[in-house]
Amino acid sequence: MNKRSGFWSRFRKNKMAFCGALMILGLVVIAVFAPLIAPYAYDEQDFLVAQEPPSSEHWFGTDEFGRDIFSRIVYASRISLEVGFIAVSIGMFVGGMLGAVAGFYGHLIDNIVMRFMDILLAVPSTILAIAIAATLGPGLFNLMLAVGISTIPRYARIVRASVLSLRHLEFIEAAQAVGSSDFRIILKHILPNCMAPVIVQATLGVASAILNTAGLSFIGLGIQPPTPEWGAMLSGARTYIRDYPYMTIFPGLAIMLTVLALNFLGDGLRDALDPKLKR
Amino acid sequence: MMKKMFLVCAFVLSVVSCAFAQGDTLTVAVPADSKSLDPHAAPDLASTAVMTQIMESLVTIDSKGEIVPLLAESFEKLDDLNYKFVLRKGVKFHNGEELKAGDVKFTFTRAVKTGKVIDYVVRNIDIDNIKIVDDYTIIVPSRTPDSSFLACLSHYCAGVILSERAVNEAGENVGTQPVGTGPYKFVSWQKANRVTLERFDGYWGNAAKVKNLVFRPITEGTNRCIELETGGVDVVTSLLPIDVNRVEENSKLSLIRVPAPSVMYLGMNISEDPIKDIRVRKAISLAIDNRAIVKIAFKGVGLPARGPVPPTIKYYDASLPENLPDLDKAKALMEEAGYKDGFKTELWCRDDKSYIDTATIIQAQLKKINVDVDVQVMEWGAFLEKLKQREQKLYLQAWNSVIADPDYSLFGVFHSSQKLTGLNRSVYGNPEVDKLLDEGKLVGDSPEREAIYHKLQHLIVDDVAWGFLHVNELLIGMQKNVKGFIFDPSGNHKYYQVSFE
Repeated sequence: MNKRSGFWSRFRKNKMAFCGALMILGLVVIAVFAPLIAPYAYDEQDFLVAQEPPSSEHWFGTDEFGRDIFSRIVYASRISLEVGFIAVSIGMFVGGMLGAVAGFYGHLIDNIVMRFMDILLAVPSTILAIAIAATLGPGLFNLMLAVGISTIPRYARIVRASVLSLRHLEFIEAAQAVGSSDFRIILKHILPNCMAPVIVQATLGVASAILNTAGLSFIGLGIQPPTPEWGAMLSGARTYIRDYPYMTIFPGLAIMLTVLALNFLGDGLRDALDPKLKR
Repeated sequence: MMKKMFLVCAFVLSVVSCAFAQGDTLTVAVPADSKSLDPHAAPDLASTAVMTQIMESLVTIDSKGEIVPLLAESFEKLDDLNYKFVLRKGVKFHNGEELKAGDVKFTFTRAVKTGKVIDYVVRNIDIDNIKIVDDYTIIVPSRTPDSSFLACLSHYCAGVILSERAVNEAGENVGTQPVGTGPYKFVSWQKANRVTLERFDGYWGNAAKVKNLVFRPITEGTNRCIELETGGVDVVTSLLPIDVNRVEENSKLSLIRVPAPSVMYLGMNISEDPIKDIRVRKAISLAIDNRAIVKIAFKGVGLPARGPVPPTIKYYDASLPENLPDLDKAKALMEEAGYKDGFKTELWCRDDKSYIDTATIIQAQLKKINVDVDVQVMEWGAFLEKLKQREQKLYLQAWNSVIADPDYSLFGVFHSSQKLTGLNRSVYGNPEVDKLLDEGKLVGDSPEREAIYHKLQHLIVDDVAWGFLHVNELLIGMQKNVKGFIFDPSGNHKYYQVSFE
């Protein structure tokens, strides 16, 4: 109890983190209520108003098909959050499990799993995601998988390190002494105790997953038209950057603000969860 | 520190630019890097645009569309099958060898035997019966009577003549050590950066006017235009439609706009339900407003297509009606065919902005007749590979008649013999069309041949073998001081007569 209230008071004091959390909350609200917020449908083409600058009718202007950019950005927040959170969940779950098993059993299993993770880590995660997405083909699900898989080794390493430090503590030995199964020990005793660094990594991970998604869509490996996605919107608008810069500015801003908010939040969480790390 | 770095940079730049003094070097920006400089391995425009400076064919097509001699001094059609070529004397390859009939025989044999990608052009050369009369006279027979045979030999990569010795010496590296008879010889190739060519002093014709010719692949269209505006390049061979006004209004630049010999079409896999049903195809065609595609995806550049033959190719039938949309009729046809509630289908396209835009427009327009289109954008190589496997439902493609003959515009893409392995990716077959296409190959140019191709265009349009979308324009921008540019409708422009004012 005491520990938790300490976390809250530390977190609340950090204005940037609090601000980031609010922004993310706002984004979630926008994503959930997208149809109510967006004034137009995201795929509604109207060639008569193609490429109009921002106005009271179209807040962020219109794209080359006369689609409302504001509405598309609102809908695109759904994709970004969806991919961000699901990809991180994939990475966190698979990576966490692998890391826990490797750390708990040690020796040969540890060696096999972690050397494999090292191989994955040797490839930059963006390149890895590109390779996976190119092999699987474009599409929302494949995108999540590609971004998710590329983050597995990071979680595996974090969890393994925590498990190694917990492995020989008394309460684990006690659990073993009363005959708990390995599975139960890992799940009930070890994992909950190494959540703090994982949560921090996950928050920052969502930010990089969103960036990766936008990057993959930008090079055409992501979401297929007409579904709006920030990176794909940027990519489609880059041809027009000299004549209609607003077409790139708004999706770019959306990516920037989201990633910024997630980074604030992640930093704040790290400071609050682990005060020793604070400068 | 920064100042020092700046000075060093400035110094390096000035040294580099001195090495290529202005007036000595013509720099051309192209949209993609060459795949290979082996003419039998890479028939794509990015590769042939470079190779056409280095290599030459026996005959070529002049600006009037007539076949004229090039490396051959003269040619003669002996009978239905045999063509005699008398070679120009004293033509030198870049390695110093003289062009002999043996090189011609060697090259055609190699083209037929190893050139899988150019098979559709050279397949009719009867390599077993090529007769060398003497060093400068050769008889090249065709397997079947074919009125487009000479046109095929003028092809930009399938028809060029290589040096037998150079090819044998290069072994595996033919694609990076090209040797030809052209006005420019190959110097170096930095992948994805530049191909450098230099004037060949032993050229048999008029020597190139500018000493160095550099091709720079710049994939981003916006950047090609900026490079042109800032003077980084002298010629840009494919500007984006959106940059047309910018170049036109710039007093330092000039723009060439010419209709391209190509038709962009909506391919439909006719072997599969429900597209098999001609009423469905008609409905799809009637639901699409190709004027919107021209206006939005191509920013008003080019024309809405009416039929399968590009308007600049001979025997184009100008009497074909415009493809105007008619939503009510389309809906009625869908209902008649039993698809009132529509169906789900896929539309494949390459990852090119205009194509993705076109796909997005078609997707929205077909939604109005309840056809739910899933657009799948693919990388060019993957796209072609998947088309080969005939898994397509709808796809976007353009067919470029690089050989200016209606046979080339139609045979490969509509003859039923090409259904399974050839370019007939719509899997279209109509016995009457087949018969006329075969006839068109046999008949020499005449009003009779014109009638055949007019009839063919009407038949293909009536069958809705494609959805006819767009006839593009070639947009070439250059500095005002560039003179003597010779435009080539296939995009393989030659630069040896270009000079600076």
